[in-house]
Amino acid sequence: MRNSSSFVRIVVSIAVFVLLETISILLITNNGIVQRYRIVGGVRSIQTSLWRFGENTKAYFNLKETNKYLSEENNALKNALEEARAMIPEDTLFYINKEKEYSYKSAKIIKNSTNKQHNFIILDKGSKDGVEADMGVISANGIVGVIHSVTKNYAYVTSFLNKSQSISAKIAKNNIFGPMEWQGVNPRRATLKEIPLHTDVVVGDTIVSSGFSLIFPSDIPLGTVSKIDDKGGTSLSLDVDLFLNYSSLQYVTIVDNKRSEELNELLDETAKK
Amino acid sequence: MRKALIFIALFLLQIILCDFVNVGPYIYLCLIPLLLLSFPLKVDTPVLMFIGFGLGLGLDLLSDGVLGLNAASGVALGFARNTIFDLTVNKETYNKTDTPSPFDVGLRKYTIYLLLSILLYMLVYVLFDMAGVRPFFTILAKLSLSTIANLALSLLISYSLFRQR
Repeated sequence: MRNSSSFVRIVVSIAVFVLLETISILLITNNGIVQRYRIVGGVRSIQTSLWRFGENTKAYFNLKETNKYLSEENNALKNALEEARAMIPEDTLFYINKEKEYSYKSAKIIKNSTNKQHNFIILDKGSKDGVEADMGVISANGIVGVIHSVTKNYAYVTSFLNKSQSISAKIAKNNIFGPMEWQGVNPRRATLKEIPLHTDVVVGDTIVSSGFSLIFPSDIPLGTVSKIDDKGGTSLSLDVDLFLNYSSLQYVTIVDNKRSEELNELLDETAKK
Repeated sequence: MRKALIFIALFLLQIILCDFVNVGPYIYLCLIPLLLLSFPLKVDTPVLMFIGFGLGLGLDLLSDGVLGLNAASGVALGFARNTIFDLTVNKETYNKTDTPSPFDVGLRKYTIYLLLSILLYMLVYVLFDMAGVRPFFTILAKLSLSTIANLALSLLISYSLFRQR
């Protein structure tokens, strides 16, 4: 009698174990960002308020560093403006009424993760500020990520520190480009792949964004080459030390490519043919 | 009442650890194993699995982790806790209405009990999080460093809490 009761308990335990593990595994595998955002929307809004409070407190104590960073960025922009002015001939009486390709919006980070395999960022700008999915997010020191989804007041960014994220980057001095991906461990290190073997590249060369995407402008500084690997004699793989410190990010710039819709239409039409 | 307050405090501490304490990519600090082990031994395995699932899912929702990771680990530990206890501590000499503490079962036995429990929890967590996408040694490093860090943290908390009992 005692043996049969013990057997039943073991069977029930195993059944519950299988059931709960199956639910957990389903949750893990189906944990798409969008589903998760919808399912736990309510929880997230409470969470966001808590994070906002935490980040505000942190930001307050980092004000000195933020001011220094903004001041440096300001100086760099002023210098760039002066250089651009110097290039315009003095007798120029007209300006080119060229339509702007990109527009920029600044945003503050409410939540930022850097120590996971799938890192994300939440910004304090949402659809009411004109932010949409698939817009790029950058800072003065590199590419931050891509906006995945937006609510009225917030934007959810898939960080570059994500094992499924890849951006197009190039070697600044010769424009040779390839996909750049985060290595998955060190938040300051990425890999630029598929660089042709004959490429003239040395440790210390600067890597910038290629502009071969509908999301990011070209020539955003990303990092410097720290190691060069010959991938089985077929191509080079470059270790890149990133300029951007994702852990100390507080303010970012959202990039809106004004021509992305037109370019997407063109690509769609071409694909149909 | 005091036990419930300590339990809630530890769970809140766990959320703070997840959201605001970053100790690098190789260490994941987690108090869920300690919370699960704090339930009396008389609690049945299926009930403990549901508690592990609930605690893990709660943590997944309230922290920025992947939904289901801590839930899967909590269920595994809930399933194996009583077996681990039977293997590490002499069950015949222990009153099952109580929660094992380092002062009752001895530091050596309690440490082994805690170590095996945390190791199992972290094994499930790390494998679901990284297996197939990260090199073996990265997985091994995260598993071992997280287990050691969590063992030290859990021992410290157990000592401080049980000494006052």
